[in-house]
Amino acid sequence: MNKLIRRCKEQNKTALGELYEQYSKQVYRTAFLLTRSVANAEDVTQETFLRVFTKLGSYDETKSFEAWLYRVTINVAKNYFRKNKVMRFWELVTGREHETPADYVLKREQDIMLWNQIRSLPYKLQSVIVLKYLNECSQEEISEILGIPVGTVKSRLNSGLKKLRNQISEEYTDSIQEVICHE
Amino acid sequence: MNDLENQIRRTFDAACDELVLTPRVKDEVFEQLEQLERIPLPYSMMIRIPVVVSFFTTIMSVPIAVY
Repeated sequence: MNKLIRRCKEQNKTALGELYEQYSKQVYRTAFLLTRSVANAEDVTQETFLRVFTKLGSYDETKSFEAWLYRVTINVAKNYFRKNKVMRFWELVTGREHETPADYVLKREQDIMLWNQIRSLPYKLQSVIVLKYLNECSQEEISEILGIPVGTVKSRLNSGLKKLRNQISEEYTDSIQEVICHE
Repeated sequence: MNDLENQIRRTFDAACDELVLTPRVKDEVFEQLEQLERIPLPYSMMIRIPVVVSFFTTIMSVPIAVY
């Protein structure tokens, strides 16, 4: 891995291509879960790799490359949201929010419910959940990626899971009540 | 707790299952990278280079003059 990074630092095009092939899928998935649309995820992936390729000189090889890459992805996605706030507000008002492949793929009612709940979480909770359950990062790694103490990672994780659990049980109660009312 | 965690993992896997990154993204990354490489040196560098060159020329001229 270090050999590949060193070749990339010399701006070797083949090495940069290899690095892209190795990590683009995971960056794209992370971006998709954070931005909730294919088009946004593609933009974030593109911007992330452009930044990685141009700022590779500042990457410290004694630390994890994945952690550095995810930090760039999370920051690019956050800035993307900030830049596109007006657009996003417009989509929400007009109901023109992009449909995602997940909307078609998720068949199980439980998964659809959870997917919608995760999408409604604030960005800082969502990013911790995505890093933990998609990228399988440890709490220490998340702390390094987001630049926050491990204690904060733990509390954000707990708070995110608690919110999800509460929302799911609320929705579940509502749907049971609806069934009872119909009967 | 474990049930919820497993469900989150399964939902993420299912949600990302059919995602395919188009080759266009890679092409655009490398195209933009090439464009960046074509941009001339920043102004500050353009000033620094002649200064460094003239400094070394002066330094080297001293032993030559002595010789």
